Amino acid sequence: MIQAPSAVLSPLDRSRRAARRRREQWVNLLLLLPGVGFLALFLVVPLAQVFLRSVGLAAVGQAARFTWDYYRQFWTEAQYRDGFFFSLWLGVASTVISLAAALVFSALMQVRFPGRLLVSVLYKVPLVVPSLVAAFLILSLIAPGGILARLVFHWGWNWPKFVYDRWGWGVILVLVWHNVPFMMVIISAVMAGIPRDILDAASNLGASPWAVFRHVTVPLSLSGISAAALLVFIQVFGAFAVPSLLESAYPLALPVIMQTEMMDRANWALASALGSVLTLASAVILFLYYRLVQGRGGIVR
Amino acid sequence: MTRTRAFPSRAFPWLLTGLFFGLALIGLIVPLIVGALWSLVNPRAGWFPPNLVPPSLSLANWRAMFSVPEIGDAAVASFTIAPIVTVLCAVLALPTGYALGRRPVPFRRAIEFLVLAPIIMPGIVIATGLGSMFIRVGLEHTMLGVILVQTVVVLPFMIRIVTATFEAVPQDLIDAATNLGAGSFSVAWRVLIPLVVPGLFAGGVFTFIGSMEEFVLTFIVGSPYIRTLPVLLFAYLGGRSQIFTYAAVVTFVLLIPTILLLFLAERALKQEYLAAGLGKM
Amino acid sequence: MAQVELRGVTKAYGAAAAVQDVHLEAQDGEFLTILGPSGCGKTTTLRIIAGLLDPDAGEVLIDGRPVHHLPAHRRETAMVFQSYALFPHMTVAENVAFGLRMRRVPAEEQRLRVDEALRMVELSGLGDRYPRALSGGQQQRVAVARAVVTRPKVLLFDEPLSNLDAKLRERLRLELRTLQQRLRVTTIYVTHDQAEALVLSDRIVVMNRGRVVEVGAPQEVYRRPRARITAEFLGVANLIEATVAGTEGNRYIAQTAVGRLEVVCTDRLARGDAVTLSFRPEDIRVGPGQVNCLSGAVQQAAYLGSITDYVIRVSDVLLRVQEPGAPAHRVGETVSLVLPEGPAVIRER
Repeated sequence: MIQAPSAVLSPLDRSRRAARRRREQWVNLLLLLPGVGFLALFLVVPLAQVFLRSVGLAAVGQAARFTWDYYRQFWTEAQYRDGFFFSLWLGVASTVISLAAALVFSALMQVRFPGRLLVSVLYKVPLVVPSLVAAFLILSLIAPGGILARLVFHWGWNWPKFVYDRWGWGVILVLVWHNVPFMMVIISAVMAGIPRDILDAASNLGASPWAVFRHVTVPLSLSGISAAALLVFIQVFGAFAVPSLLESAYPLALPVIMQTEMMDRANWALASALGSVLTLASAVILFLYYRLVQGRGGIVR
Repeated sequence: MTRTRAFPSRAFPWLLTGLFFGLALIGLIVPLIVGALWSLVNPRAGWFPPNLVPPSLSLANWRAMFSVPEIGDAAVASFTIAPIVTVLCAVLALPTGYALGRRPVPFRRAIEFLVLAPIIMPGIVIATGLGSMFIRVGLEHTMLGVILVQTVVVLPFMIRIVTATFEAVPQDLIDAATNLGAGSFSVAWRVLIPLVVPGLFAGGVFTFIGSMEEFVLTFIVGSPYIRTLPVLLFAYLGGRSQIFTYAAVVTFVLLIPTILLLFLAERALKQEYLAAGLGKM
Repeated sequence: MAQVELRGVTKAYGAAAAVQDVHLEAQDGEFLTILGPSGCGKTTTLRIIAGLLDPDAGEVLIDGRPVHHLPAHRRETAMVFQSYALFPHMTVAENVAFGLRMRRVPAEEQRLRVDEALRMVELSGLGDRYPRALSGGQQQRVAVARAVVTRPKVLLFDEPLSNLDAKLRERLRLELRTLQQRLRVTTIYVTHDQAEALVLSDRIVVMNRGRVVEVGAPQEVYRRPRARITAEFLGVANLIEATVAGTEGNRYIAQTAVGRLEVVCTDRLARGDAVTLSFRPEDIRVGPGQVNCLSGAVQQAAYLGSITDYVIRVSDVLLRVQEPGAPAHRVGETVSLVLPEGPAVIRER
């Protein structure tokens, strides 16, 4: 906006400016209304209802009364508590394993080897495969009656139990399969952004390829690495589909329990409490993440 | 990134090749082949252990897509809902992206957080809230309900892409147009929108794919009356009846358009970058 | 401290040869500069010495022993990069200590040597700062400290001053030279700035299009270039093509586009030889003279403070002439020029 420089604004100019500003605000409002309004209506309002319901207000089919009972039920009853920790375990295990694999593979991808271009396309395929499909594909491989089991049986061995097991290894495997490429995309991009000179300087000063990776590449990629880890953890923590398909009868992941409470038992209040716990836990993790990132004081430019 | 190094062992790159292709084989190719085989299993013979390969193949399962109503219905549902969701997202995201991308907007951080929230929140929690809300309003188990619910989780991606596209339009172009006499509307119509179309297209592809693959919310709000392909797949994979053969068919009906669309999107994106780059010159 | 030798080093990128059959030798403790225009292969040569690039053919020897099979991190060369390449996530002290850490030098000794290196580059007390908090000149010094603290056999510089402004460049290049003389490390310095090359080097290697064109001490290479490209690249040269018309002892008569010139040359020249004569602008005098006196018209007179740079047209040739002081001749004026009798004689056209 080009404004005529004037030392003193006449009252007419001032009111015109104010009117223009007010118009701008109206235009802004109108522009934002569709998108933001939609989300406000269909996200914020339901979520507010969830929180209210979890403390007994805005109840479905019964009188409203403020209470912590549902949260208490969550904490005291073993199945819900165990479900929370099981989801937590799935999140941690998947994230840690995915991260380790993604770091190694991203580092190896920086090296020139024959066929690297093809691999760089292939590894992105799991990204477009929905987790349900991934569950199916992997299930057909590692299920008790799956292909690998049959192969191994052919040779006279037994196939270990990978799915429907207590620790959820089948679930973790599918989620890792799905998330390693996701992390690789983020981490590779960050690693490729490191100026080549800096890596050459490290080599020149005596750092072996492993030392360069350890002392230079990883520290400078930390922002991307931590962001990827955070996204994966929160997603796995709140995952429903894959745990529902591949987990054992006990413990069940918290989202799965929520769904049963909601749809089979119409226990909306309890489901809301469980959902609030999930959300709160995710929020806490997010908060801790931001604290950690701020704490580094932007060492990584 | 190209690196030329003196390797202690000349064989190292080949080891990597072996490693990655081995992984691709076990992790990608074999499962896909097995999945394809499942879709081709002769329903009369089945495929039971200890058979490593289906004893006989047939296209019966694929033909079931047309004969078994639920598969056909699910396919129709998926391919109907996805375009509608995409258009809805485009309509909602365009003004939002314009405002966020080119105007000084108050409460920007709050709005950006709101846009980010559906991506970060667990889908099941959103489903809990929306599910009960829709029951009250009577949208539960309806097509409209599913469309709205999918839009909630897919819209943020569209908004982010469109915002980024709007931001990337160089102010110089707008100034030049204004200087040459274009009013706000002309600028928007003749300069901004054409430049934003590639981004819109890319966003549209991602939205379409996102809608096709969306599961949790559709499951909670839609089933059992409205079932999309992912919801059907879930039914075939879990619970008491595991029907791998149908699951395989549904899998490929889901996957093939998705992968095709992604190739298309990648092509479109490259051209967009090219245009943006040349435009900057 | 070591002697560095390159024998027949070649490296090509696809069809284009970046470096072609390069033979080079740096004596123990010598400051050798590789000078040339952009794309001449000087940085490629440097990176081959450092081990950051593998040559397609040829050998690299340090102290007579071949090192070209050794990976970069095991050669005892230390490089100062054009971009400084300081580690942004480490403090200045940690940057400087990095090479020592890789060599597993004990912590106490690390600290001592880092302090010493920082003192040498006049950055004591800045050890706890991060590179982004430093100015360009300071960052450059950290890069130098980081390289010298490891006591390398060979010190390599890749256009280290090109990102700094002119005044800073002048000051720092003298400091670099002083430092090198104190440490007596064999140094190979790459630059496209001929002033730097002349000031810093014991010897200059002129490269062009991937090949070594000429090697010599600064004065030699400036006053007696043996190749056209050397004369053109180092300073300003008036290059006049000449044919040897006659001889009188060691005086030759050269027929040129500006007339007959008398030339003194220690080389043996024969009648009919086609050569190029190179006259430096500061050697041409404006004024009357006996031998090699020409008449021309002033086209331009640029006042540069301590000297005036003239462009004077003689017949069809434009000559650059430099005279000390303020402009004494105006544009359009006809003046008399005297060319020296001992220009550089380049035996190529």
